[in-house]
Formats: sequence, structure tokens, C-alpha cells
Amino acid sequence: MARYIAKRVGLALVTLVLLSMIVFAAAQLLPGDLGRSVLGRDASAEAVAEYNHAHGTDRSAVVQYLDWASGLPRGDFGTSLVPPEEPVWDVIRPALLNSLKLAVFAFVLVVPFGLLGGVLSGLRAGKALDRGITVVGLSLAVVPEFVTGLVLILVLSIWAGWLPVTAQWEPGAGVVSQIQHLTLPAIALTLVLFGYVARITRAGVVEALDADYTRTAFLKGLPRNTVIRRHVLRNALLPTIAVVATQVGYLLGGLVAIELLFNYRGIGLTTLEAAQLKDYTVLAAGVLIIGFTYVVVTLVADIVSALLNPRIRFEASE
Amino acid sequence: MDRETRRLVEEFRRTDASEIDNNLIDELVAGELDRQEFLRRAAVFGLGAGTIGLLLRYVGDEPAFGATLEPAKVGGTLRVGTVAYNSSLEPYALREAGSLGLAGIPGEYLTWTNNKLQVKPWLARSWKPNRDLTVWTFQLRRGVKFHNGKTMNADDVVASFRQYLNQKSSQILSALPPTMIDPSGVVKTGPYTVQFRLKAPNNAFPYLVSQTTYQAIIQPAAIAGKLDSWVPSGMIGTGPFRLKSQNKQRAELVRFNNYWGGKPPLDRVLVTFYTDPAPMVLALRAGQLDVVVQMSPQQSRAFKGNSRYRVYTVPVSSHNMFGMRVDREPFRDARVRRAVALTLNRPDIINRVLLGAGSLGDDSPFFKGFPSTDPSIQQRKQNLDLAKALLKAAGKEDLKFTITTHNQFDVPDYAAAVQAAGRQAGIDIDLNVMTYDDYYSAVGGGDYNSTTPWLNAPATITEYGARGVPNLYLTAAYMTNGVWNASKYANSEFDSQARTFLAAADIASQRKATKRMAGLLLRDTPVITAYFLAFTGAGSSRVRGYAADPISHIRVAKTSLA
Amino acid sequence: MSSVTVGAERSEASAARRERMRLLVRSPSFVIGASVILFWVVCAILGDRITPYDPRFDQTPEIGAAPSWQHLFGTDRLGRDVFSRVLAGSRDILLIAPLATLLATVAGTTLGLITGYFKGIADDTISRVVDALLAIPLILLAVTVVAALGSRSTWTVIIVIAAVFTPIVARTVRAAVLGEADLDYVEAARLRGERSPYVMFSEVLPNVMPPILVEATIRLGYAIFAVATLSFIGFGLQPPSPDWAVQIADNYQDLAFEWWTVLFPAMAIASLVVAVNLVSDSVQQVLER
Repeated sequence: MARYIAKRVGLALVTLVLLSMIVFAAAQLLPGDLGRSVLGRDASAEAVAEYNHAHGTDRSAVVQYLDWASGLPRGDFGTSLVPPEEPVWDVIRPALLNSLKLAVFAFVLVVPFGLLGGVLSGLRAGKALDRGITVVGLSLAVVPEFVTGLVLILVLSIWAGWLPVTAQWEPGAGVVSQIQHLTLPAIALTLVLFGYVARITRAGVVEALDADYTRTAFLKGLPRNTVIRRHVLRNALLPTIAVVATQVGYLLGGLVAIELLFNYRGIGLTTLEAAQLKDYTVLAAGVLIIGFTYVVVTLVADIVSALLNPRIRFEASE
Repeated sequence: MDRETRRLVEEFRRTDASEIDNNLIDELVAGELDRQEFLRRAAVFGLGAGTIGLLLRYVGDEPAFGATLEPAKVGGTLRVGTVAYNSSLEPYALREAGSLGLAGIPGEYLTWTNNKLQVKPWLARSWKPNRDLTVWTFQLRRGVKFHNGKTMNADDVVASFRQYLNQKSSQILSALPPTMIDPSGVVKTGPYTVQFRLKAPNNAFPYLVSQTTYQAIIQPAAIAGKLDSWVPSGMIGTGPFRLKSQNKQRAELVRFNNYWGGKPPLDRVLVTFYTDPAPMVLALRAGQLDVVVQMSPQQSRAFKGNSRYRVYTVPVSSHNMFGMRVDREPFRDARVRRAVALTLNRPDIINRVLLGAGSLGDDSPFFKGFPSTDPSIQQRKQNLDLAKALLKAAGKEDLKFTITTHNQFDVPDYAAAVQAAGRQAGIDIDLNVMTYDDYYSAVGGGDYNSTTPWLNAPATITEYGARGVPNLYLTAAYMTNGVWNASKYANSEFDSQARTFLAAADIASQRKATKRMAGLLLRDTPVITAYFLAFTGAGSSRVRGYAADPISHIRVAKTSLA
Repeated sequence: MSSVTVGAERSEASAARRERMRLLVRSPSFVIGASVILFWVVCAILGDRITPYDPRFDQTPEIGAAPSWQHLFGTDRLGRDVFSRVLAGSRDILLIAPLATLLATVAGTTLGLITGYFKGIADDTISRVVDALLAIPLILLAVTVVAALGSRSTWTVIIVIAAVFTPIVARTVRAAVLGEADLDYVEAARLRGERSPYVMFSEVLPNVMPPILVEATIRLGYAIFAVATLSFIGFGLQPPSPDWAVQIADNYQDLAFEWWTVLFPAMAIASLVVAVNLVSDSVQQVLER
């Protein structure tokens, strides 16, 4: 087991290094340049060149990469190349915090609803209710979140007047106000993820219903509800959460459209802007942090699955 | 004019008036200046209010901050929405609406240009030019406090201007270019007196130290003397609100109780920056904002005719230049360019694209609000038959071309309207609408000026911001080898008229030149200008004492919430 | 292998295919999904020949009119008929999404076959790169590639989405190939001395076709999703294209009072992705039976 984990951690590290290289290489290909983005169309060519030189973007990509990467082991992400030229971490941290708030809220909403839908679906597998939940869930999962978000804004905010249209609370607003402002985007995300969670849960329930221990429990004459609670749910829950956790990457970095729609400065929007401005250091750090979260969560999920499923362990230590 | 007034005026002309003043009065008497333009010029040349009042007997004067008709309710937070920015907030580096709007709340300027293009006293109380308009002397207001408690004096003004003048090289066209004044030309001549010694005469200098030169914020000398220390200091200025906190998404400002213009009614101003304007418009509509500094005319539709909101519009000289490369097919023949211009039904386009909030353009940069624009220039109208005939004569009946432009404000809608208009005369127009960044970037890492789409595509639509005078439009976009000459127009006759215009001190010769230039442009039509815009903002009707500023400044000293 | 058994296998295979088709057309979700897709395909092909107004050029006098008999979905701020624009708006997305999916499927299958078949260093390297790419959220990756390519023509969008989906397809195909590579028939072909490309494409590929098909239908749904999202955030198609997402991006500032300019294109996107999803779900069920 230790060998398996060591191997997976090693691979994850390689993935992260590759990721940072890919991001830096891609950033080199971006058109336009930093100085022009910052100084604007009216700036003279000399001023643009001077800005680029002062910020080191006229050096070769390899030198820039090594310079930037050398700080990483110390946890130093460098400085943003765009005014006010704060340390990258100061740019990323509030955005990450915002993203986390939204992600946690969406999780809190989607897990119970998804579980409920999945269990109902699994218990009535093949019936109309099952088909209904599956089709609706999967359909919502593929409708772009800005589409659902807009319909939600229209109905809940503009027509009904219940919720604010942007996810931006006043400075120093309390938890209640923050939750109020985050409700619409969180519902939009919940709708996207619901089908996914329900589907995994459904599979777990179907499998658990089929398993020997469940049959034994039924044969022992235990009441149906008790069997479902004790055996089916418990066994369906863990893999569901483990698999849902792999959605963290999406919840953190994939919400550009939602963040734009609700004017909410999360890590997605911050990274997108950095890409537009050619602010390499922020771009690379943003993508790396999203990637890091994704890789770590996937790793944990894999290890949990390995612990639950001896076959994977066996294959890995072969 | 009654006899007493005439006597006083004649006495003034004989004793006090300078040559410039007398020239001004001559123009007024000759009917070359209307009342508004006279006020404008009188203020520029520093005529006292008493004299102006004398000269225009019954004319009242508008105070710098707009009249407050009712006692303002004290307290409350004003929530303002504006566009996000990516450049620095340091005064010398201001260039985007979002950043200059924020910096202009704690920061203030020597003078104020109002929406009628008149200059008003602000941190400067009065000013006077010398005889040949090369030295301008400004008297500063006394008792103005900075947020850190220091009293503003001539040292602060000199240091602030020197900081800016030392940094000016970053912009191709700066409002105060090095050709006009050296840093050493800003001199303290008394504790509250500052002199600007220009390299050449300038008849409009007081404009150039107003908020239209938004970099010219007056900072304490100690901060201005040390580059890039204004933002770290907490943006210490003399404005009605001082900064409490700011980041790229939010800025919070609180009332400055020692404000020289009287205690501001509001407790707090909260500025929110929006990456995408649409959520900002929705937020105002949903009551999450009180004021949106600027929106497109189309976006203001949500608030028009709704008593819960107010739409602010200020006619300005900003316009979209639809340039056609005169050095390339299919536009080499001027008849082709004229034909394209003739397809446009301009009043309909203004109604459709700007919802009526704009004024007619005549394929020249001569905005009717400019005093130098000759009012007798004939307006071009839609004429599809003539357009078709011109195309036939030029052998271009199957004219087909692509307009390259960017996706911002009214531009895509305007482009779509041009496209639809062209079809009526059988012109097949394709649109290539780019993002703002792509449109203004060099292509493939090449040389900027020879690859960027906005200066190189065969047909382009580019937006130009508002200016108080047409000088920059002429030098940059129309004169041969102008830095932004996207149509590659080259006409020596036009150039010489433009030079005459730029050197002219009096309005009559300026108007003569504009008439000539407008005639040449109607004939050659290198650029189509269908309309001039109106700066548009909107707010809740609860907001009192707020007036939009077409530079995107946020003027809230007298603003209150009902 | 004698020709007789080959023929028998073939007819068996075609019988299985017929059976699958029969199951498919009997599935209500497939029928509904396919009909909706067909509807939009017809709209895309016929375009402005069937729309009551010209979706781009008819700037009618009614500006921002609410839905009525004359304008079923109302008009937008330039007086264009929203119904006509919604019908015409299917064209770009129905060109881009399938083409991108096709490209990604071909490229991803090739990549997946190679990595799954050869294993070893090539596999390890490519797999790591694929892992790294998959760690970046789809939209961020797409935006970076769009920006790098510079222009934003229809082809750029196609290539970007294909490029972003290729590693995902490759990973699925690789997993399927790994399951096949050790099977007897592959071993047999190798022993016969067949060359690797032949074994890969003629022996392994037909056997991994079902998962590839399923993956392709799923990707098609996500391709539509990706094109729409890219256009919405300004990195895809640009106005005045009547594309649905462009219409939404262009009009959602008016949501509070001209909701029809946003709601109908939104419904159109939703109907298309749901239809594709219904079809892909039914195909999946039939193939996995």
C-alpha cells in the first residue's frame, strides 16, 4: 500500500511540474504583450518596451520559467506583473477564498439533494421515477451554467425579487447576507452537479441492493427501511463522496461564466484576466493552484478507492 | 444694452481690459460668440465674475458643483458601479475610466471643465495669462486641507505637476506634451501662486489643468516628490471623501469632514468595479447600486421612462471613425467611399443604435458643440440612388468588403447598422468583430503600427473618446502620417488647413478652416462619421445632486440620498 | 480463418447492429432527442430561407417589442426578429460542435490506441501530459488556447475545442485498449507477424468502437456546452452572428425588461444540449446492454 501511495504521489508531482511548464509555454504563445495591455493603445512603443524590460518579459521563456519556478519550493509565487504589482499570493488568496465559499456552499446543497435523488432512483431502478431523475439530472448537467444562471436570475431575482442579482455583498456583511448573495450561483452549480451525484449514488445503491450482505439482511427478516439505512446507504455514501470530490477542480477553476455573470471575483475570473493581460505569474499560479487541488483530491479519492477495493492495490504493487 | 451698462463696459475696455479681453468682447459684439461660448472663453482668460456679469447683464453663473435646490439629507452610503481597470492608480499612470474615476474622488484638480465645456475655478481660485498667452498665473484657494491635515499650497501644486511632466513620455499624445512645457516651467511665485511658463502660446491652457487632464491630481508635495507613493499613502488628496480601503473589485471611501467645499452629505461611497458591464446594469435595476457611472445608450434603455431611475446624458465629441483605406482597393476611388457614406440613414441609426442620444455626424470630426465648428457646414443625407449611381460610375457595382472592428459599447450595433444600410445599395459588407484586446494588439509579435488591425485593416470602425477641441482628431487621424491615420488619408491641402486651424488664436479663422476641411472631407470621405455620442450614465431617483462627468469622474461632494 | 466463418460472423455482427438500431428507435428518449436535433439541423441548413424575417439585416421599426403574433419571440433592441434569429442561430453551433467532436475523436482515438497499445515510455510521457492538461478546467484551457491562436474565426473555435477534448478521448480509448491489448486475438495477430499499425487499427479498433462511440456522443454534448460558454465570455463567436450564446451575451443587460431576447436563445441552447444528451444516453444504454 505504501508503495502504491508513494508511486501515486510521485506521479502527481510529475503532473504538477508538467502543468506549470505547459502553462508557462502557453502563456508565451499568447498574442499582444504585457506592456501594451497595461499601458494601453495610446502608449508609445518605447514605453511598452521599457515596461516589458522592467518586468523581465523580454527574457527567454526558459529563463523566466526557471526564475519563477525557483521561488516555488519556498512557497514564493513571485509578484504580479500588472499594477499594483502585489505579491501573487495576495492576488490569489482572496479569489481562492471566494471560490472556496461558493464551492462549499454548492457542495452543502448538492450532496443531500443528489443523494436523495440517487437513492430514490436506485431503489426504483428501471421505473419511471428512475428514468425521470436520470434524464433530468443528466440534462441539467450539460446545460451551460450561464444558461441556468440567467434563467434563475430572471425568475428568482427579477420577477420574484427574492434574491440579489450579483454575488457581491457589502464590505463587512454578515454570514446571512453572504449566503443570500451566494444562493443564486450556488443553485446554478447545484443544478449542474445534481445529475452527476445522483448517478453515482444510484450505481452504489443498485450495487449494494444486489450484494450478499443486503440479501442476507433481507433474509434475516429485517425491515426494508432498516436494511436500506444500515447497509445500502452506508455503502453507497463513501464512493459517492470520494467521486464527487473530483469535481473540486471544476468548482474552483471552471466557473468563469458564473463568476462573470454574478461579478464574483473567484479564482476562475482572476486567472482568466491574468491570461488576457499576459500576467504570467498570476496565470501560472492560478492554474497551478487549481491543478494542485485537482491532483490532490484525485489522489485522495484514488487512495480511498484503493483501500476499499483490494484489486487496485494488487495491480499497483505488481 | 442700457446706457449704464454700455458706459461701464467702455470704461472697462479702456482701463482694465487686456488686448485679449478686448478681442473677446469684439467677437461677442460681432455676434461670433453666443452667450455660452462667451462665458466659456471669458472664464478661460480669467475675467472676473463681476466683469462677466457686467458684460452679460442678466446671465447668472453656475457654481462649480451644480446648484443644490433643496437641503440635502445627511448620511447614507452611495453605491457606485463602474468598469474594472488593469492599470495603475498612481495619478501619472491614470488612463482607464475605472481607475481615474476612483482616483478622482479623493484627488482634485486646479480647475474644472463643466459639461458645457466651460472652465471653472476649483483648487485654483483664479488665473490670468500674460499678453502673448505664454505665461499663465494661477491663484490657489486658501485653507484647503489634505486628508492628512496638511494645508495645500503652491509647493504641492508644483511638485504634483512636475511629477506628471516627468512621466509624460509613456503616452504618444499627452494632454500636456513635452513640446508645451518643461517640468521646470512650473514655478512657485508666492505661497499660493503658481506660474506655468509655456514654450509656445496656448489659448486654452486652463482646460489642460482641469479634470480632463485626469493625471494632474494635486498631491501633497512629500508624496508627489516620491514616485509611486500616492497609492501606498492611501491616496491622500483634498477631495470630499478619503479612501478607507480598495482592491480591484471594491473601494470604500468615507466622508472627509474638513473638506474645503463644505461637509459632504454622504457618510460613505462604495465603488464596485465590474469586469462585464451587463451585471452592473442589472445590479442598478435590482437596487444593488445607486449610480452607474457610464453605460452604453442601449443599456440605458432599462431606465428610460421609469420614474424610479434617472438617466444622465451629456452630448460629447466622442465618435466612431469608420475609416476606409484610401490607398487600397476597393476604396481607392473617392466615389466608392462617398457611395458607402450615402447609404446611411443617420437619424434612423441614431434612433436605433443610440436611442436618440447622439448628434448627427457629417463625416468629419467637427462636433457641433465645438465653438470652432462652422455652423453652416452642409449635412450629408442618405441618398441610395446617388450611391448606386456613384458605384456604377466607379465600376464597383458588386462592391464587397469586410469591416474590422471591436466589441465594445455601441460599436457592434453601429457596424450591424452600416452592414444593413449597405445592402440597400447592393453593397455586400462582412463584419469581423474582434475583442477589444485583439483589435488593439500587434499581430504575431510584429511591429505594432504595421500589424495592429485597427491601423491596418482595409475598413475599420474605431471609437475616439471625447475631447474639448478637435486638435487631436486632426493631427492623429486625418493629417498625412498621423499616428492613428487608419484610412491613410494624405491630402496636402487638408494638412495646410489643419495647420492653419491649430495655429489660429481667434474663432473666425478657426471656423473658416473647419469649413474648408469639412468640404474636403465630404469630397474625399476617407472616414465616415455618422454620429457623435452622448455620454450616458444612470442612477436611482433617490440620488440627489449628482451630475455625470463625460470623463467618467465621480462627483459626489454635494450628492445625497433622498 | 475460412471465408465461411467470416461471412457468418459478419451476418451475426450485422444482426446485432440491426437489433441495436431496433432498440434505439423504440427508446422514447432517443426519438425525442433525435427529433429535436433534426429540427435544429433543418433550421441550420435552411437558415434564412425559412425565417419570417432576415435574422441579420431586417431592422424593423418595432424596437424591443414584446412577443406577439407578428414577432413570436419579440424583437431586440435593433428591431431584429428574435424568432428568426433563434432559428438561424443554430447554424454556427451545429457546424462547430460536431466538427470539433469529430476531430477530437479521430485524434484522441489515434493517441489512445498508440499509448494503450505500446505502453512503455511513450505511454507514460503522453499520459502524464494528458493528466496535466486534464487538471486545468476545460474553459480556462480553451480560453488560453484561443488567446494563443489569436484570431477568433469559426475554425479557431473548432480547433480549440478539438484540441481540448483530444486528451479526454485519448484517455478513454487508452483504458479500453489496455483492456484489449492482452487478449488472445491481439496476441494471435502479433504472432502472425502483423505490423503494429495493422493490429491497432484493424484488430483492436473495431473492438473498442462502442466506448469510442459513447465517448463521442458525450463529447458532442460538451462541445456544444464549450462553444456556448466560450462565446458567452467573449472568446468564441462574435456579434452580429445570431449564435445563441452571442445573442445571450449581447442582450442579458436587458434581461430585466426585455427578457425575451435572452430567454428564447437560452431555451434553444438548453433544448439542443438536452436532446444530444438524450441521444447519447440511449446509445450508451443500447451499446452497454
